Amino acid sequence: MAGNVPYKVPVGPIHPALKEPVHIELTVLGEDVVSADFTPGQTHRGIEWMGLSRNPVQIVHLTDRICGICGVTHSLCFARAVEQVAEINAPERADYVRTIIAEFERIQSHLLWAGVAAHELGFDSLFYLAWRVREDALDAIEVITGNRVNYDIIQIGGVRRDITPDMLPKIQKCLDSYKELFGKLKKLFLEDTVIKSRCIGCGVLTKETAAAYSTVGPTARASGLPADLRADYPYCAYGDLQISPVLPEVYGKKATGDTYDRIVVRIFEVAQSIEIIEECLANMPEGPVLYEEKVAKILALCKKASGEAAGRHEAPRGEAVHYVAMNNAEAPVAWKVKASSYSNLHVWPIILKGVQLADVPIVVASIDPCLSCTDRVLVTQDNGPAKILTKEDLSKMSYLKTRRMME
Amino acid sequence: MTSLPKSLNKSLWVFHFNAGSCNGCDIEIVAAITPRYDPERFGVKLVGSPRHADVLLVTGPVTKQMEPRLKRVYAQMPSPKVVMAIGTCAQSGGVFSDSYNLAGPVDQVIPVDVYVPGCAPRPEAIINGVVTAIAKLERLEAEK
Amino acid sequence: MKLLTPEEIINTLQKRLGKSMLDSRVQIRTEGVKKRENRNIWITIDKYAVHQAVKALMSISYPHLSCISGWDKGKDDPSLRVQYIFTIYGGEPGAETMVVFSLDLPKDNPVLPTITDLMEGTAFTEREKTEYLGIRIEGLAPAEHRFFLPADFPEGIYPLRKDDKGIPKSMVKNLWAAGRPENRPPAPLPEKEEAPAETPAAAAKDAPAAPAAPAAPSNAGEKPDTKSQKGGA
Repeated sequence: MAGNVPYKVPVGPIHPALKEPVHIELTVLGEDVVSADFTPGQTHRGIEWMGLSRNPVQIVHLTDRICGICGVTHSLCFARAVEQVAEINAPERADYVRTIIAEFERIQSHLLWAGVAAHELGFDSLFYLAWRVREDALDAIEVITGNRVNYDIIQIGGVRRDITPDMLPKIQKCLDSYKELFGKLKKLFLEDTVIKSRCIGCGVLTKETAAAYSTVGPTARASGLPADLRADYPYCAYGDLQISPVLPEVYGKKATGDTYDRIVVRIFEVAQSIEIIEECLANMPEGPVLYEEKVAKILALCKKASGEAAGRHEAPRGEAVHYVAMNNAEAPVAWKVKASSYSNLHVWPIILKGVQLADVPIVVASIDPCLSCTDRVLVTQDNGPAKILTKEDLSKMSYLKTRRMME
Repeated sequence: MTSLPKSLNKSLWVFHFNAGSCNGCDIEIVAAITPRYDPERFGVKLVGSPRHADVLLVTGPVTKQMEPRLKRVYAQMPSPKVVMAIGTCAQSGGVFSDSYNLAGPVDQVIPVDVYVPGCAPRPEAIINGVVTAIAKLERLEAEK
Repeated sequence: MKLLTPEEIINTLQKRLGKSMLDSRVQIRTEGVKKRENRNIWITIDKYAVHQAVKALMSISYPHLSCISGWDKGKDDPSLRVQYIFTIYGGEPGAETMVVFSLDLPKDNPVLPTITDLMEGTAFTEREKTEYLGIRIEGLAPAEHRFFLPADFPEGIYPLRKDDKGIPKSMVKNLWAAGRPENRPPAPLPEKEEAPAETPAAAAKDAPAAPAAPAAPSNAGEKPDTKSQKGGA
């Protein structure tokens, strides 16, 4: 490749298989990334704006469709915010159901991510394995909520469906299968020589930068920040449990904030979620699951409410916040959605700096953005002809690097 | 279930286009190609380029930015081709119907052959849609 | 490190901010069976005191900025309400406290100082306020491109404004009202001006499938696309 001429490499915005469009522009010198820039906003749908003309119960359905992977995150945040403004207390049993479904979501989201990460490394058999075992979590979610994605189980003041005794054997079966599988997953993802050599020391985010950029979730924890809302900020049933944030130390290693640490954190969080679900199922209080069953009455309560509140939840990707302000009207006067990836995307330019072009897919995916990576790549030279690389070429570079390392 | 010929005269390759979807349908499309459903044993697989594809799966209500790109991807596909609109918002906008940044629904932008409703449609529904698409492709091939 | 109670936090901030702190409120929420408390502090400050307030908060503990949010107060009040949603004591079990600074900003001169000098990573959410509400951030270099709104979004329109700078009705297309098309839209054809296929492999692959295709496969579509991406970035 050319010696000192920096190349601009635009990536995206359409990826053939996975997730949302985003556009990333890399400046590369030879194989190394010198700087990176990104442009989200390709799927901007103006959700917050639409919310300002709908009532809270309608917005709950909208929140379910902010993201198809975090099906419960946004509706939970929004419901918690509205409940605080309207002074509605969800029944204790509903808090437990919310917690259980949120943890199932974490399991399926982390497995989904693990599969994508394996795919980006060119380890497709592991991708298929992760996605096959993910189906077990989706089955459990379907038993509880009736849906595989976009669960629509949250309602203002509780949840729509209770967990009944006949569901328990099916849920337990899913949990048992994961417990059995955990050792295998750990071995495949964490002890594999190729994954280790591709990920250790790659895409480093230091603790200081992680704090200064207010990163959240596994991305922050992999850098050694012990922040986890479930432990720090008691809400739903998490306040009743003893939860400690998962840091790379659980695997007996010091946090360095590289891609490997992010894998460690997510794999161990799957195990943690299984424990949380079991504990919640064992300790579920009896009682109703809705503060008020009639939607009209909930709406009347919301219409009388005025004030502001923020609903927070530790989503699979980290803290999500919904700020809601209401003023004696049907629709809220303000609604702000802060998704987890919002706090993590902006470290891309930092962690991509200095990595090799072949490492871009895994580093980009390592923060688990709500999008995967690349479609078309255009390599241009200021005074030369443009050469077009496809997403496949970039993946191929990633795969070839893996292969080189195996030899 | 649509009746199918005993043997397919070609493997169906599918290109997926996210036109502003919430990811729900996209995840289900990927779930549909993974081992539980395994349509790859019939040669159905996702490909990385529209130039290689027989079927275009479109999800999402088509944001204004995605409209020209969707048209371009459609034009790049070889004929005969079949377009499937996956999910409710690809068909009517769904919960996003009154947004300010939409140019859809899909069938106003490009010709659609198969509609798969649902929010999100299950993998079984998507596969059934693909089977319907095969039948249509066979017919188009025969007419040619 | 001694962890302060919400009241002590307010007192500390009050001392540092003086008259610039207009009011404060502690909101305690309990959920679950054990009813453990999560703490939220809502403080209204003067619009000139943003920098001072963040500094004061940093003297207590290094904060985490969830985001900056903002909304248009509507017809009766020509101002914007902006919230800086912080948390402190992240990583202290059960002690994390949310601290929200709210302020009113007149619409005729919506300017806020940047806090990137205090916390490096806040530019992203500050830029969002510029794009959604038209708030000018002083001290922050203008971005090369938009981050939140699409690149071709009209200038001078801020989606979350409720006045004439907000979304005009003409931009809204009610998809549910569109119905099914009676005539299928014409199939888009590839642009003609480009050279024929560059990648022989792809063309060879396509050829048997589409001998009589009106939309003959070629690389024609590809180049303008990538160009437009380049321009957008």
